[in-house]
Amino acid sequence: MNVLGIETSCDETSAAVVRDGRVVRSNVVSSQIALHQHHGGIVPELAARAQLTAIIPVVEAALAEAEVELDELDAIAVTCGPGLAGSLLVGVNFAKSLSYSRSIPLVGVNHLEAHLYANWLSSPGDESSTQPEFPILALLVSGGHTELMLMTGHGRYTHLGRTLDDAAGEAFDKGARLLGLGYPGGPAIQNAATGGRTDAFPLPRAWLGTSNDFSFSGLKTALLRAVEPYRLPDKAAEPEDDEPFRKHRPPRFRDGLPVSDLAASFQEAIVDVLSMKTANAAHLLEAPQVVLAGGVAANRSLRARLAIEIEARSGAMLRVPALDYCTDNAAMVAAAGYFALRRGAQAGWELDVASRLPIGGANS
Amino acid sequence: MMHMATHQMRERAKDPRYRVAAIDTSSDRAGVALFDGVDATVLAWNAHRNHTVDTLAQLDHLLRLAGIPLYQLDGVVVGTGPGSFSALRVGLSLAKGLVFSLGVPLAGVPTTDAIAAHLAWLDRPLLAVMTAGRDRVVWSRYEGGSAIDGPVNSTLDELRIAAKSSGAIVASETELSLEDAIVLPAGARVEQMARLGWTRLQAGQRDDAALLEPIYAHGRRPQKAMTA
Ligand SMILES: [Zn+2]
Repeated sequence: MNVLGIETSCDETSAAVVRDGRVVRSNVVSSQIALHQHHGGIVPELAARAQLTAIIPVVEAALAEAEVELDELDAIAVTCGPGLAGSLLVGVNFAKSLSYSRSIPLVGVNHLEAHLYANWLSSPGDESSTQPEFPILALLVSGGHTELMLMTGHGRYTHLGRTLDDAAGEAFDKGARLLGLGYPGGPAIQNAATGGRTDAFPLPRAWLGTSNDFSFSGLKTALLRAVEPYRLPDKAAEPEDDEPFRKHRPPRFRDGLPVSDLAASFQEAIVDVLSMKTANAAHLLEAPQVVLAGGVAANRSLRARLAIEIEARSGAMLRVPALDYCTDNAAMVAAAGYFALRRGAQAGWELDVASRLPIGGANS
Repeated sequence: MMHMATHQMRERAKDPRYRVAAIDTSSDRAGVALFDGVDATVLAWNAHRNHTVDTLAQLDHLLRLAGIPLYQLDGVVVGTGPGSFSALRVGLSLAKGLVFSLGVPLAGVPTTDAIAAHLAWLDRPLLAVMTAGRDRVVWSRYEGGSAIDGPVNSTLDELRIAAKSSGAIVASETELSLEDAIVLPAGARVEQMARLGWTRLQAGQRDDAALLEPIYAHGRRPQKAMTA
């Protein structure tokens, strides 16, 4: 069964063809990073504009790469939320038209659920790999979400904990801004941390007792305080011109800002909390399988540390998606769509976008 | 792009009329239309910002009413605004999906062109106006059916001054009270869009479906990046 996945929830336009929810035949991603970089973050209106001009070339490329014609598709899976409404609607409406004009079943996919399903994907040639086995303890870490949950079957989730303030990816973005490292923050901090001392700055960890919840806003404040002595006053703001989208002005520092040590200490604090809490939960729940998912799952330090902590504290198997399937991509959407279709989900022409959508909820 | 089944080819051969479907999601007053050079079939409704939910279902409804199967479309026409950026992108995304799938050409028609075409019989200079949020309007000036100027994003007062100095009639989709100006309703936009697009497509003038965008007529309200 060939499923075309379409993902336009934020700043990547992606289309993929996945067979039987597992085998990736193509996965084309058009990134807008360069577009948003000089604004210091994602400008929703610009993201939506770029989605609209990327959608045809990206879908065309995904079909061509998979050597699949539209009529050979068994279903179309499209992200319908959560995300930026203006970006989401490009993928959803395009997918509806394809589905309508070719009588191909359509299914709406929850973006967060799709991230988890990245763990079901395997590349061609590696098709013999085993599937994750339920029950699965899942740590989902991205720019908008930090959630620990138990997946007891396809589409069945029990929430164990979530962030009370910033998401882990958001913490990376804000930290990178404070250090003048630019956007996106995760890769920027990871690179800057290379060679830095993780214990150079004693940054706080919010353990929150035995709770499975997370909190990263205190960490951000501590980093701000550590950086403050090096900070130079901002230049006087330039007069507002006709530019409709505001340019980002990075902070200015005196010489001697220990960027590498600060980045390493900051990253370590986030990785510490995520790894220890997940490993503890795996131990207490006796979960046989742990999966990591979401954009922050691409962080090398987190991947390594989580493996160590889980090995040390529980007998669980850890599964981590290939790097290409951690950041936003349509292969994971096709995989999630495939398993949703097998559960009988199908969307009608009234499928809507939802900027907020709890996991387990999709308009399908 | 894609191959059409042979029985569909034969069906189309029996139907010599060149036929287009038009989609207009420039504002809450949304519409879909079919035009074949003779007959126009139109469906217009108030989308209440639910364009994503409504529009394809309305197009499906229209095709059923008219008894036209999708494969009998020779082209797709879409309104490019000015208007609500998000709403416009709903129509454009649907239109892009349709032409990609059906392998037919796409024509984008500015929404103000459609408004001007509706009132072309007046034979007077015209300001075709779309609302753009609170107290702001976007308009283009037309003479003899062609756009001379615009789109301009301005305050209502600036529009009033422009109307007064040019002696133009104002055509607006929403009620405007402008002193010293004649304001007429904009009329059935989507039908005019279908007619204008039909003429362009018949003449072989198609837009690049991948690159087609709404007309982004900005006011002065800088947008900041999300992560602050
Ligand atoms: Zn994501």
